[in-house]
Amino acid sequence: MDRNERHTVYPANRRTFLKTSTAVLGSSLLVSACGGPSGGGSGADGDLTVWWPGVNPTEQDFVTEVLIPAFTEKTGRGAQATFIDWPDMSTRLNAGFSSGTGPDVYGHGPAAVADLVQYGRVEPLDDNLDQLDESDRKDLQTGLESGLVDDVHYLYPIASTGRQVAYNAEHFTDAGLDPDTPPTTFVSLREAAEQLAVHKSGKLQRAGIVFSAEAVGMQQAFTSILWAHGGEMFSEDGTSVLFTSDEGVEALTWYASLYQGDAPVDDNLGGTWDGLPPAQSPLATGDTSMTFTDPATLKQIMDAAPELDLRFMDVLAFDEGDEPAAFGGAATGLMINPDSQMQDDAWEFLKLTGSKDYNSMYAQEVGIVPVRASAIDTDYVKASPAMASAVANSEAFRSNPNIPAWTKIRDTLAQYLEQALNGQGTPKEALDAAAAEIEPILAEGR
Amino acid sequence: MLLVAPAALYVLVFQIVPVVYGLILSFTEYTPLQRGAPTFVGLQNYAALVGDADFRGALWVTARYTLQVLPVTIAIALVLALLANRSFRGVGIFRSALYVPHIVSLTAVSMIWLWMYSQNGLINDILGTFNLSPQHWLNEPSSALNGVSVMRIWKALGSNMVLLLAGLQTIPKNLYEAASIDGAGRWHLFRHVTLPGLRPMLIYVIATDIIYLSQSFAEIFVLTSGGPLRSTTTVNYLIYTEAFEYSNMGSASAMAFVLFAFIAALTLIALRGGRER
Repeated sequence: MDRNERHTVYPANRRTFLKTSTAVLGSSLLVSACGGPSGGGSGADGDLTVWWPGVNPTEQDFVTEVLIPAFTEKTGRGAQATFIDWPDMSTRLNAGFSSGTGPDVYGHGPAAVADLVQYGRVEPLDDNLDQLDESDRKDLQTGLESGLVDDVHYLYPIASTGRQVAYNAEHFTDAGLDPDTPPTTFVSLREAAEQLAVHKSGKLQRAGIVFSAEAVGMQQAFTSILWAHGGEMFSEDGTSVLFTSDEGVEALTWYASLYQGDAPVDDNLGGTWDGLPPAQSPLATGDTSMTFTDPATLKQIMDAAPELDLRFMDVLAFDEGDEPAAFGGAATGLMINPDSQMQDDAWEFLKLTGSKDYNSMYAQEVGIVPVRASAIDTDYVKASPAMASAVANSEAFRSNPNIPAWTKIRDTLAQYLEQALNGQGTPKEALDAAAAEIEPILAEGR
Repeated sequence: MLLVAPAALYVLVFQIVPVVYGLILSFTEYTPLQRGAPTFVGLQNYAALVGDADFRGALWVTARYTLQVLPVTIAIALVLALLANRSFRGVGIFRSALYVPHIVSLTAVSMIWLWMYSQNGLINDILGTFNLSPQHWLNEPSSALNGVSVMRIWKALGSNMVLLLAGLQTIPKNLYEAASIDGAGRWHLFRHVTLPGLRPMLIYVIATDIIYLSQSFAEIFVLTSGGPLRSTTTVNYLIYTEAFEYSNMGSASAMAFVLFAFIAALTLIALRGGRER
């Protein structure tokens, strides 16, 4: 049998196999390429499905053993929670929405809201919020603003955050500074950092202050300094860049001065301690006297190093005459899938999670900042200086702009901020270059 | 035909369909959040990559990472395999100990190395005992990729060593005896008997290493997140960002197919180089 003969032995079977394969391949590609109009949600009669961001065991226990039973008692409906690691949340939602297996209720940070709104994957909450008491809404005000897109609320906040400067009071005393009257502006903070920094052989042995230098951290720091100087990131309609203003250039110049020039005070450029235990953060190890951080992280550091006298400064203004402002607002919020057939129960779940009692319990169990301003009177907040300071400063916190493609805009800006912090070009050049790249993304998103 | 049908179906559904679907996506604009089908954009995603400085940078980082890890790993693994091929007391423990890093997950290993590289980590502690100042191993653009490379070399040694050891044990002993009788010294035995005998396995190890290293992601994700100043952003990390942070499946798929071509080219060069020798 020669080669040609072998090819002619089973032609029918081969053709059938090829046809079948092509049909299977073609139909599956066709089905997946067409996508589905529905983003999932349970049927009208089943349990409410909830995708909860975070896999902290304590948090899981709270949701399954406290929150869901309370929800069931109130509504008569069961609920099933799936806990998803934060970095996987967007991926899982993408997969859920595209395959029609999305949840009724899901959690996320405010950074995702505008994109979800753009593609119609989140239900507006204004009709429901209008039914709340005015005092109730006011109590949630800062967090609610984090979920605003084009003046419509989409995100119901359940945890807050903010950026403040934490400091080691003992280092202040040793450097001749009064720990009871810490700096109130970024300008005076720089001077304090210089006094606190310890040099040896021309190198920083102890930093005056450290900022987390990964992309998100750099953007949040720059934005905080910019806002504290009265500057803005974008125009109100989100169509043009404003961070190239004089305030923006001065903010970035200040930020870069921590690393560049004759007297650098931060030696953590390029570094982050996200993956490290709290006990290894530079504030806990004594490698810095101050750090720009959030209340939940500071609480963890304080728990890991109880022997240190660590404190939070109030939110800073840039200079005398400026108003204090910093990145903050809702850290996590819950949203409703518009394809859910249990809209009323989904809203009940949101309301319960953000209610005074349950939100305080949740915050205490997990060690985060409660979302309500009235939480300042709870025992948990009173007992935790980091939480108390964050709640007391909540009015000074602002969320990142809710505009489509925000994560790409954020990372693009961070890329140029990093160049300026490394001394690659001037702050003005970096901001102009960032603006040139971000303007088309803004235009595309509108 | 019936007997191979289950395997063929498996390959079709789980391997060919996703690859073809990925290829189709690379010619579209698509985010999973959208309702409805992907929009066909032709070669637009590929054309955009040509002018994309970030993508070019990531290709360069990927090439540099692969080419600096590969030779060092192969050389050390070969030395270790030669040592492990001898019979001495405790050789089993020696072989097992070297293989352990391969068993542990890359993410877990990366976490451990993150701690070792940290300001107060083991490596700076060792420097401290010699009165040397601590270094920011992963924070400097000039040293971050090298830091990741050292970890990856350590991680890859075990599996490479075992494969090369298996290759060494297939070389007939009588070739060594004949060469020795002809007066060959150690170097000549290695050069003219060991290396030619090991060539098929060596080519296999080099080809698979190129494929794995060019797709590096986990260690970059854990150790540096692609920074500082994008000095460790590999193509695979960029694909992850594009697909899962920005939800641009079309351009991410295009990047994936360019990476595929890049890996295929590197592998072909390695295979051809091995054959010519």
